[in-house]
Amino acid sequence: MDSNWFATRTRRVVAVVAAAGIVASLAACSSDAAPQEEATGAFDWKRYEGETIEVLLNQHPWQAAIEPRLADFEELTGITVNVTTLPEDQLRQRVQVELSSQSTAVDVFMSGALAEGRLFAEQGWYEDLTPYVENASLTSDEYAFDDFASDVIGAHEIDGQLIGVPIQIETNMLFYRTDVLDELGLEVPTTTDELEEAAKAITEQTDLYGFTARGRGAAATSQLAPYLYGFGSQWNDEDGKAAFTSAEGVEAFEYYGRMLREYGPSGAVNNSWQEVLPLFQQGQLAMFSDASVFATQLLDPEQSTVTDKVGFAPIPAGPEANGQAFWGWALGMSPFSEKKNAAWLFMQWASSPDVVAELQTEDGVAGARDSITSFPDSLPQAWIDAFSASRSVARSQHPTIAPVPEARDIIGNAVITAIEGGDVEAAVEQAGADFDGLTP
Amino acid sequence: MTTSAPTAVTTRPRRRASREIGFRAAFLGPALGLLALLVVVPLIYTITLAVQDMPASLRGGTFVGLDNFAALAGDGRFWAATARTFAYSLSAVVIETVLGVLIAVALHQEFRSRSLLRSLVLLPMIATPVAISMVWRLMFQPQLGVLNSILEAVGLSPLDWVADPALALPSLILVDVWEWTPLITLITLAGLAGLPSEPLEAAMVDGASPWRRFWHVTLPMLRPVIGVAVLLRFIEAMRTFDPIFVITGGGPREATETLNLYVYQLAFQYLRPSYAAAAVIVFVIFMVLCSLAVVRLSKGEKR
Repeated sequence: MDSNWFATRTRRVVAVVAAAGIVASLAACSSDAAPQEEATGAFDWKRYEGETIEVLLNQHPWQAAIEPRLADFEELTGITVNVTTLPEDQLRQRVQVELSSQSTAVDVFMSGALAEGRLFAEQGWYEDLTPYVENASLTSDEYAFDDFASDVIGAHEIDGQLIGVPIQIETNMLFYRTDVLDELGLEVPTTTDELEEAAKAITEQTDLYGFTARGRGAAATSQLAPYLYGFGSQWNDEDGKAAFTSAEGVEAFEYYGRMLREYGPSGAVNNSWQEVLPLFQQGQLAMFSDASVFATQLLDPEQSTVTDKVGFAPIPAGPEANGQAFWGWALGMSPFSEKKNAAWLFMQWASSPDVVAELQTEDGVAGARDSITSFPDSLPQAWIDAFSASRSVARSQHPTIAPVPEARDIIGNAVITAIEGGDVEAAVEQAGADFDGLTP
Repeated sequence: MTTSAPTAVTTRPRRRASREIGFRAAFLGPALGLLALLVVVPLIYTITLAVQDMPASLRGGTFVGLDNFAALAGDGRFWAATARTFAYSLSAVVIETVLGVLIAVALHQEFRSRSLLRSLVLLPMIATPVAISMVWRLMFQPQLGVLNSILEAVGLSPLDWVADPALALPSLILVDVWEWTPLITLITLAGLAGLPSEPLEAAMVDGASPWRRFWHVTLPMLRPVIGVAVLLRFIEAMRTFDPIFVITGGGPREATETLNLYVYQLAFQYLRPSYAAAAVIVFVIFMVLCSLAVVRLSKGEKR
């Protein structure tokens, strides 16, 4: 890592020097016109025929679904798309290195803008997309921007700028074994109390673990979110100060920790979805809550031994509210791209009603468009019902402050204390103080 | 005229010396230049970064002097990571050295299938670090992992391994030992092959037992070789990243967060390049001091 660090630095120095030179020479001769204003006249997909754009994607079901369809875009526009796909951590590093060096080698990047959006926006790493959406010469009439779910778009608007277009959406969901609940005569839990009763009954009366979820610090915070909302708390208030330290918040931490400690496997504090999923797939776990996208893996006979016994439900409502939560990926545009208009055509196509409908109805990758409600037959109706019910009231999973990654580490420590059964109130209070220290 | 003779005598070696310097420069120049480019330039850049409050966009930082270092001095997480880095590296390297040398001595004997065994021993080192880290992560998993199956098969109670804050670091040390003992073995084997046989034969004639021959003859002769191996391993161990990142990500809480992991968090998760740069500089200073200490130790005992 040390040598990587230095290599990164060198690349940055070289790139910064080069970029500075380019900027200086461009400033001398450019007319200062914003790129989206150069485009006038009728909308035309072929306007940027012959250009090549560079796109960085995260390894993800959306990426797996879009890559085979890129030929359609290239045929439609005559623009060549070069895609580089990386695992999430490497993608984040690559994007950060490219953007901080103001590299022109990236035009479009997949971004977890609901988590890192504010932090990236502070660095000036997103091109504001509003002028592109509003320019009728660059955006087709058929794009139907208003069709995007308003809460999702709202979560991508920071300081009046549209930092990304949503391409995919997932909710927190409860997965359960239908046969186990039937055998014990249990109803599908609809409240957190019922969830605990069911988990208790299963743990006591069968060989299976009743319930678990992610316990691995930062990774657990996105899974705690719907329970936190359900108990009537939230991560932060409008001023960005910790709100999860309220009595309701502490209760939510205690509940989540107790559920994992009492009814789940040991060692939960190191578990992320990579551990939780196999436990369910191999028939050792009766219930867990995680992202709705994992349905595919649970229903895949090559990975799962319980394919015909999987049930789906929204996260059970808490004592105060029906706390549902969502997460989604977006496409962002690099402000240092030299092919912004071509890049926008790609982003527009990838989030257009036609493509979103294809990805959702054929590949089961849910988009963020209100008008598109159908899913492929491979997804059971129970999943569709659970997803729709959850999605309609879901809130974003993450705190709405800039340093979200740091905040998740801080909150994650309190989650671990809750799982270990320590002094939750003190841990949450400490987390709140640290959280407040992150923002001025 | 009379004074010219001695000067002529003295200029000749001087000319030879200057020509020699020219030769040396011609041979060393490119290498030194490359070294300067690859090491000095980034180091200077890192230092300039560390004395500013640069945002991740790398634009608009202002000079803050030693503020970042002062903040580090009061950063409990940094010092805890430092202590962990030393605990991890020292334990791993000590175990690896003992095991590695013993295995090398065993493999140095003549016996059938020796070459097969030699290649097998080297396997962990050859495999891709991230891939084997993923395998270890699954093996550590308390319910699904093979390690607990083994424990249960021999009648022991299962452990939570990396999920247990007290066991997490030792578990990662186990991975390091598994992966890197072969390096010590390899270097020691090379050292053994180059040893003169006369001292051992003399010891044998004198009637020394195999253990005494090993302890009083072989080992002292091997010391410089082992010293190099230990130095290499120690520096590498301090910089360990892949297995820790993949298996625990520094958790539970910060139970396995070494300096390298912390710096990664600072730079790529928290987007605090200046603070990360300051931490890297202190980290590098630690490593240089440790390397010097190891070199001194391996030399000092010889006397």
